[in-house]
Amino acid sequence: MKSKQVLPFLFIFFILGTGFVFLKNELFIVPKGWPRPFYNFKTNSLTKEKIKLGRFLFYDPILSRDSTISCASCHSPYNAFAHSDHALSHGIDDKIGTRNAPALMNLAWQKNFMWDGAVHTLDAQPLAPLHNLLEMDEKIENVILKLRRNKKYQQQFRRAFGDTIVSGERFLKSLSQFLITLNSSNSKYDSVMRKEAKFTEQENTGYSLFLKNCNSCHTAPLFTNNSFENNGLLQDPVLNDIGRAKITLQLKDSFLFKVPTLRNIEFSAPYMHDGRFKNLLEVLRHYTSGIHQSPTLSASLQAKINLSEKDRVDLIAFLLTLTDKSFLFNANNSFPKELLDKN
Amino acid sequence: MRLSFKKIRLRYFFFTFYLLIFFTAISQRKNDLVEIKFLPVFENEIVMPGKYYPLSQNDSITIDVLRFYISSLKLIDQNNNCFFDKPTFHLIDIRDTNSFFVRTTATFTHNLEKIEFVLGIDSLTNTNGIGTGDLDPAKGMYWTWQSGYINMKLEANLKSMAGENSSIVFHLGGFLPPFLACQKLIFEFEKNTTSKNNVIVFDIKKYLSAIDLKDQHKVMSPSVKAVDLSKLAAKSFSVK
Ligand code: HEC
Ligand code: HEC
Repeated sequence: MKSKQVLPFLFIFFILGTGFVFLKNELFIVPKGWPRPFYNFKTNSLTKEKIKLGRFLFYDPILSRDSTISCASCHSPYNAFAHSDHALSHGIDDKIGTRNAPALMNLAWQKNFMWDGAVHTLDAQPLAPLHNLLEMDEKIENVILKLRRNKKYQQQFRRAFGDTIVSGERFLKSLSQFLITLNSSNSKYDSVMRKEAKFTEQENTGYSLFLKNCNSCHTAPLFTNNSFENNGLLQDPVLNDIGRAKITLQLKDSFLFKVPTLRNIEFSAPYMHDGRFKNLLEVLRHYTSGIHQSPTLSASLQAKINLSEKDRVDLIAFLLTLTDKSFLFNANNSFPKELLDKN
Repeated sequence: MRLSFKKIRLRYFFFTFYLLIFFTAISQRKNDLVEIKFLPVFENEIVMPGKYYPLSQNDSITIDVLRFYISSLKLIDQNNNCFFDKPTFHLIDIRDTNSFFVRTTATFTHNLEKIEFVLGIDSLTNTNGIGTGDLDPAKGMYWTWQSGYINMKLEANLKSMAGENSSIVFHLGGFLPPFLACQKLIFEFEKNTTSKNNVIVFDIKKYLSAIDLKDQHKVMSPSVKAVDLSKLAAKSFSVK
């Protein structure tokens, strides 16, 4: 009798289980030859509804104190989710922050977040801009109250979770769901690696120069080695940003910053943690003649990098092959029009 | 007439009888499950937010916020029965007296001989990301500018005789070496003790008296100071 009652349940679990595996595969694909992602999908398995909820939240200024600033205000889809017109981020009441908003992509493969690695779990990351007085100046407790009162979100939460309970955990993990679907692996570079396309001669020369001078830190396929390095930027005396040492309080980490990805670099200017360089030529000028010697300068930049005028052009030609139009103009990642609907 | 009166008395008797059985059943159930009380006190008094307490001859203090995590609770009774509720985390908060009572599922019949617990959140839990229930970041015990749980929050106002005010803000935490802040506490009792040993107090007077408040009144990030203050906090716990 008892086992008879259990059987249908087992059957349902089986169906649900295979359904989830199927969904997960469909919603998150690890490109061939890429490493395993760091993100813990076990504690936050992807569903279409939760990703959609996360996308709503990402674009909704309701998250800020006075409903003026959304995540997308600083992370615009057209700039590879970075911020184009400001070197330092531009937040609530026109306040200017202390760092440049980084491009957001392939975050499931990222181990540390923020230029100094202050955050090590993507689920906790939104707490930072939310509470930052210069960014959104809100409190998570308050955001939750606002979402609970909002009819649109009551519906969204019911669709995503089966009921209308809004908790901090659900809110944060839904945002993560959207963030980890912002994946870019379809640039010309990727096509070439898949042997579906060919580099031009110029791009090929640029690729060789890249492998020789840059790949040790900006390591393919993610174009970051996921570590912290000092790439020889002279410290800005006003910002006085000591980088990784702010978190570890250790001298040896002074002026180390997270190595950023170079994918879609064509679209994510300005560059570096303080947005000091407006274009890629300025960046290359830094690597060839602007390296500031200091005790924590990374080993691979101790010796001078020599790049002729032509080398620079070639190297930039290669960097432009990292542009992924299918990512930059992906309609699934853009502003959800339903957000404009009245409650 | 007499008969019916007798009947009523009989009914009354059965009624009280059932009631008695009912209540003993309930109380038995309550007795069976061990409950540990974590009481934030100022000397012998449960701390009330906003109330003035004399800290020394010269200073008085009001406590606005006092919240801390208790985790990895382990109990052993005199019969060597062991109870361990590793995956649960309890946030004790002076603004929520219900939070003082940690109900376990331990069904001990003997008194406790040993209590172990961790003040704060262990490193593994911290590296696993954000949690649910008392670990929900909306509880306000997660740092916003960096990853990690705050093990203990204390926000207080010190008022000197001369009328000077100074605020004390401790947000203690940190899970990466060398600034690992969570503290393991172990209390052992006599084998034949007759006390239930299930009331644990955190004496805020003892704690603050051990600290030079002029020197350290704002500690809000993982650091040597945060570790030292966490150790002192652990020393201010005792079993009543
Ligand atoms: C006012 C501008 C601003 C707003 C609004 C903002 N961010 Fe950011 N974001 C930044 C800056 C600046 C950084 C880098 C901060 C640092 O390194 O200290 C950053 C970093 C990040 C990172 C880490 C990326 C990496 O590679 O390390 C993520 C993820 C992120 N933001 C997501 C969000 C989300 C989600 C929201 C909305 C809840 C949001 N941001 C709102 C400016 C902003
Ligand atoms: C020693 C490691 C290292 C090497 C080698 C290196 N970089 Fe970088 N790169 C970094 C770090 C670290 C940053 C971020 C620095 C900061 O913002 O403080 C960075 C930033 C950049 C940025 C800005 C990215 C952004 O989103 O703002 C570009 C572009 C860049 N590097 C290109 C190159 C090129 C081209 C080469 C080879 C000529 C190269 N890098 C070599 C470590 C390195």
